[in-house]
Amino acid sequence: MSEFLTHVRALCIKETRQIIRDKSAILLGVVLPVILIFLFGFGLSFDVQNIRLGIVKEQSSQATTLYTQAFRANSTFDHVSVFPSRTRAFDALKSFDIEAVVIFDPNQKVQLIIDGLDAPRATMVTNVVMQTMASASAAQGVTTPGVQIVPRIWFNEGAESRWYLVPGLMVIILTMTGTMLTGLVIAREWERGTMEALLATPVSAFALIASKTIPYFLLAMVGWLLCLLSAIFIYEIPVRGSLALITLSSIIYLFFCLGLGLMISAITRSQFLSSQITLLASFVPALLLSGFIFDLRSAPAWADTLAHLFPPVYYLELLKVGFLTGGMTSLMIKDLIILTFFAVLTLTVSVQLNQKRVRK
Amino acid sequence: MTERLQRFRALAHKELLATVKEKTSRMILIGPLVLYIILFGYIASFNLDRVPYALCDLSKSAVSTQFVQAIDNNRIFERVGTYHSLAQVRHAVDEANALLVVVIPENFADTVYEKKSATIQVIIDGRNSTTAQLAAGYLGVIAEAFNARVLGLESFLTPRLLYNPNSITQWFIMPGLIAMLSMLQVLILSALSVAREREQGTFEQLLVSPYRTIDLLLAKAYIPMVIGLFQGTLIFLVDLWWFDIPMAGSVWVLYFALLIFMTAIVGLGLAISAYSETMQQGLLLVFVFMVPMVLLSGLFAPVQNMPEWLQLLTYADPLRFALTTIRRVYLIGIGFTEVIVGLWPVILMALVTLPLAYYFFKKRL
Repeated sequence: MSEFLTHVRALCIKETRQIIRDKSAILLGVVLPVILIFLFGFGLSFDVQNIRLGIVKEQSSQATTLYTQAFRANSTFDHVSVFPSRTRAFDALKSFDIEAVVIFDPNQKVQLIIDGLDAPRATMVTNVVMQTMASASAAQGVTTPGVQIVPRIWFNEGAESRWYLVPGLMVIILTMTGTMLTGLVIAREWERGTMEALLATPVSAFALIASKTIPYFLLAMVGWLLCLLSAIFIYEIPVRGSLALITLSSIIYLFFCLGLGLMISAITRSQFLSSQITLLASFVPALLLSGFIFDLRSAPAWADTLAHLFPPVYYLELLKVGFLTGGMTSLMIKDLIILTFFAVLTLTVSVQLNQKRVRK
Repeated sequence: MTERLQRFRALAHKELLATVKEKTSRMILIGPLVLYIILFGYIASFNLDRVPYALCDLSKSAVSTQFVQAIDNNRIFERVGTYHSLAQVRHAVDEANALLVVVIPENFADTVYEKKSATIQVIIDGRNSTTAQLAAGYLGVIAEAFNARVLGLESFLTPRLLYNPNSITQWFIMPGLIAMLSMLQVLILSALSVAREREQGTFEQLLVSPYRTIDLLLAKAYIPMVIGLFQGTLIFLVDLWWFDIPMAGSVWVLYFALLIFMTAIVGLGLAISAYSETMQQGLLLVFVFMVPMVLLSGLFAPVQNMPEWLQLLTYADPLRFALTTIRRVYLIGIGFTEVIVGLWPVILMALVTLPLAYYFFKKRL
């Protein structure tokens, strides 16, 4: 056993020196996560902003003036321009100067015409226009008869998309850096021919994998910690569950990613192929199959089933419990068990794959 | 001149073989295509396929039952739980996995008959607030239809979407994928081309051949572009015949826009390739460029939602303008002049990246 420890220690030192001298691992493990969290955090938002609205008043009345004022007062609208006629407004719409037109026609009806090129945004613009008008008339004490839907959002009262996107980001970043980091290391040893040298030493396969995992684990945790700090302090995501849960689930998930990378690396033995497969097998599922942007509960049933074959879904659920909701103990335990299973699986397989064999 | 052309053809042929015959580059020709079509076509959607909801009907009146029926008759809404008190509502979200909970208040029936506004509270699971809000929007449409049908109230505002009347997300995502995927292929293939020759030691052989620098560079640019166009065409055909997205514009304009875009991208790829020492470094650089380019392009979330400083940064992103232009060609049918106007930052980029590639290439000789 003590021999095993000596081996691991010696190899870890070798690996650490390689990381420090190569720099590209630090770039991938620490710098890239920080860039991503900034770009993603600020760049990816589903909260409608800067709407360019046009208004056509075919008949001016007290109501139309009221609505125009309401639109102008709402900061979601970037600018609100009033057009004298429909044709002028449509021209502006067709040349993309404005993206929606509200037409108040003579018989007290309102038409809303939107540029539907970006369909998801158009839907949200419709909702904002309707809400603005509804609250403007409500403020005047006018009640609209009939059934009205009043939404109330739990766990994210301000409905800020960032609150659920940033935890999703952590999934993506950890997947990408974790898998990429180890995805290249074993392939690199093979490509440079140093793997044979390692095989000639008395080091066991287990010690080899351990030494490839530990330094990269620590490196990826530095990147992860920076993400966590920016989530809490820059993006001000509340931690309503527990920090311990967030950390624990991240550690388990990171082990899964490192194991996956080692697996891919050992199978392909080529850095190029390995980085391609890593990108396809880790990044894309993390982005689209985790329910990060597109909620899986509303996706087709087969997609939901497919997504649950990959671990990012479970990690994201845990992060959302940790950050946004708290509670949900049974879900938490179930997800932790599944994640642990995946982590053990990939690490065991990668030990198996790295049994000492020169040929595949 | 004819001799030069002949030589060029031979070189292009060699480039094509070098790309197609290699297992690694063959793999990236088909794998991503299939995966991306499935994932982007079916999962990346804001058209909700099903909405699991829970009901808490405190009114228990004829009208409320009628309203609940209206929800249940909707193919999308799927009831996963029925509760009888507000205290149980939390369970609906925690355990029954409901996206939203419809709470009909006790005085619902009275307010409906008194022609006041009868509010129905909808509690939304904000763990994914965008999806949940869209689901609430669907409920709003059901309420509107209910008001018209049962209560005889005409709706006050009618929204109409141009170019995509049913607001189908695929119509937005899939034409964009033509640009996205061609970019991915062109960038990776061109970034690897020079670096590969250098790593395998065949670069010197090219140098002693009678080719001029510009010929070498053109041949290196030509093949990735042909492959990129081919992939773009495949996505285009899938859009047209599998997803049935109607093409409003002309095919020529589409290819014209795609060609301008790919010229800028191939310039970037070759500049990266000529700059890097190894394939490894080339790939890393591609990655460093590509991830922000995709993120800032508005493929998922609109550019207009970004903060001002970041919106300025997107002017350096050719994919942003290519996406908008190709969507406009596909769904609106804009012409050649509008394409050029819309793609000006991309043209500018091509004018920078191509000479840059030439410069790095020349410097290395």
